[in-house]
Amino acid sequence: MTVSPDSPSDLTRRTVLRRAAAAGLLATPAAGFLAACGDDGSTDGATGEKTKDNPFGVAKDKGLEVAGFDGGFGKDYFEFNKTKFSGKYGKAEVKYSKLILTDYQPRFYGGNPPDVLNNSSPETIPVGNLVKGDQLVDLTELLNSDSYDEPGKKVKDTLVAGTVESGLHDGKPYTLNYAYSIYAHWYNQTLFDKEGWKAPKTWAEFTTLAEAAKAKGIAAYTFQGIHSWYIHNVVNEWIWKVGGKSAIVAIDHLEPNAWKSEAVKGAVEHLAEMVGKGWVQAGAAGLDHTTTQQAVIDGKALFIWCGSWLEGEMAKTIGNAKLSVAAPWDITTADKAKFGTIHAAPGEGFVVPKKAKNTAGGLEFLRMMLSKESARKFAELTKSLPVVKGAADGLTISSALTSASKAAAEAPEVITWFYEGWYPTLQKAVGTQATELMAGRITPAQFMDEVQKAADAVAKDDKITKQKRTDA
Amino acid sequence: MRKGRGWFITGFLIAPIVLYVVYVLLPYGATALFSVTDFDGLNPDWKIVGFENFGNLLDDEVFLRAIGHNVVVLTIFPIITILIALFFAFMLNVGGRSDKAGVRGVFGSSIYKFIFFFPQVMSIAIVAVIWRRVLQSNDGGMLNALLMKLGLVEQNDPELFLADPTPAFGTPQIHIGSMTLDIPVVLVCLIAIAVWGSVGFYLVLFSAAMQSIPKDIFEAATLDGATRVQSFYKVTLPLLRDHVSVAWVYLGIAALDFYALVIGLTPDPGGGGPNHASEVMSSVMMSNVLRPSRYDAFAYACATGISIAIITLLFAALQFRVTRSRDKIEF
Repeated sequence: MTVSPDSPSDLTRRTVLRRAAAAGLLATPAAGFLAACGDDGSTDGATGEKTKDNPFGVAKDKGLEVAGFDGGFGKDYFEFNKTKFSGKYGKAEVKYSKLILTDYQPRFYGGNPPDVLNNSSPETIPVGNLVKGDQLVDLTELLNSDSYDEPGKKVKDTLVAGTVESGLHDGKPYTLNYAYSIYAHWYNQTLFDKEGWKAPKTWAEFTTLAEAAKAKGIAAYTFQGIHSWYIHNVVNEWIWKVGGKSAIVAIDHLEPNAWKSEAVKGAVEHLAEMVGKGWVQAGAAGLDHTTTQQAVIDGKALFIWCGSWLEGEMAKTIGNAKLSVAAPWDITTADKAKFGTIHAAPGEGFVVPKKAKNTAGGLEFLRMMLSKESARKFAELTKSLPVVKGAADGLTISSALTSASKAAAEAPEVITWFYEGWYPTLQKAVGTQATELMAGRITPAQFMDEVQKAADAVAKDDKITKQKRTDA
Repeated sequence: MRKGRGWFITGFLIAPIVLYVVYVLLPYGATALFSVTDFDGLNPDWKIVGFENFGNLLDDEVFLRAIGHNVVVLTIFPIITILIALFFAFMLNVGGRSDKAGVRGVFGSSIYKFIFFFPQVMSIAIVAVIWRRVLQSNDGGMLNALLMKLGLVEQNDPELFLADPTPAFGTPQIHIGSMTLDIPVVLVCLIAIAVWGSVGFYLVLFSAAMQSIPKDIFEAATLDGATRVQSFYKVTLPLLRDHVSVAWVYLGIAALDFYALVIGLTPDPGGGGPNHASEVMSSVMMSNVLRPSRYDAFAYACATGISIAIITLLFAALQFRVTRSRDKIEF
């Protein structure tokens, strides 16, 4: 059902109360008490009239404070949306930060948070804690409102599949992830064309390719060594590929011995095989992301796992190399997930703090960001995809990004996991143990033992709030 | 008049005292308070939980291993730094040939002083960038490239240095309860870099101290036929005891910190890797603040901070007690 702002269903208990209070029908203390029971956050101060064009009732000239993360996606898209917002509702301001947690923790504690916050950066504010303290606005209202461009079409229907799910906490949407990244193994198309190589589809093909590369003094595989987050993704993708979704769901749900399954065994044994056969770039475990990514560009290594931002990140040193993505090739001969299954996930979260002065403005800012024009602008400016469906259609950003998005669109299954955000200690354990494995210091069996130990520790720690997948 | 002077003094002191109270004492107090709560840094509705966080610290394998690493650094880093700084200071001031011009340093000592002091003026961020390149784990790393040229390291098996968590020089891993005591290669690399960065400062400190020792003492020793080694041990060292003990305390406190080097040079998010091999107490604390797992990680980090403060105070007290100066030598 489409809830039109002018239809009677808009007259919720809260709007009635607010209007009643304004009319002086309710004594002030009672209004305050009842308003405090409100659950959509726009309890604060005067709001504007809710109209079709202004579904949250943003008051004009109330001012909007946006907390932006000054990172990989830059500032330009914020500036674009700021201009767009202030054109309609008056002044808006974006404050940029490189350390969201450090800069905004005191503001949440002090009860004066910004109106909308880009909860990104290497150190994000834990959403769970904010939810626990009732500090975030449930974004259901935003997702169910009319989209910016097409009245009658809900915002949530304009988003790519999985976006809403990626922002759930305790089953409610508190985070809106804005950027849609596609992850895969990247290779140097120029080198492959020159040598007449093709991206592998099976482990046997990969083996042949790796040996051919080895004969030429090229490492078949490399990884971003000191940043263990990258290799942890490969472990997860391969577990899904071998064991299907259920293997990852078991891990997300911290099920006993989830890390000792056949799927995990298949995945890590093949990682170990690459190490054993000398296919991994020498010293990769001690190198950083740019050095190893450059190794692929320079033709010193064949494959590296990375997100769709890779080309943008390496733009300065990429030269004439043309990069392509390879979907996860078959790891075993009995993989549960079909070839073509791709890992794609929304990221770059936004939240609307409940105690902000202008929560309606915060919601409206996000609705504006999800408009066709803003989404397209984001793709142009950042060379990345937003979560809005078809935002980059017709844009030629880069051939690799185009092929990656095509691969994602055609994928029979999309790989996602949640434990990474829910249980950072477990994520870190997987990353560090996978690095140990890739450096040849531990065996697959030791890997499974160590990670299982970390998972069990998380499972039995009652200070860590447990989550469940809604799509399991 | 007397009363007026009191106000005058207070007027000058008020600003620094207010600054000190607001920016030093209050945060200390807040940290101490939060360490016994379940505060998460975000919600003002915390409650007191007692010493639970401190109890958890005693079971935290990563933190206990980090203490072990601080102990290792505390044992090795000050001794090596002081020994090298003393040796260099001696050579630069009194180690040269003694002839008609009297006692002096080796040839070109002022240039050496400049070179040795140089790391001291560089910010830790620059130090980190330089050493990451020197210790890079492939043929692009300066040290690895050199070792490969010398044929000591294979092209396809470079030294990992900062990414090597294995025990250095075959040192054993000792387990006491849930505590691990080990000396990984990465920690040795960090200590070497810290020594490189600190020697210059203590060299200058000891140089100044040596210059305040009257030259005739050295000349008398030389006339009596003392060799350089003898005059170092029998003259220089006893007269520098106070300076060495101050250096020891400073270096000890630096050894208990070590955060900047760990975060700047070692793998894994927030440093401390690989696989916690270079974790020190302060890096564990910061990981809890910046990458929380448990909801009350902020309070847990506060408890970690308070523990670090207690350990550091105990160390300083012990150090002053051991090196308390006895009879002062006047000259």
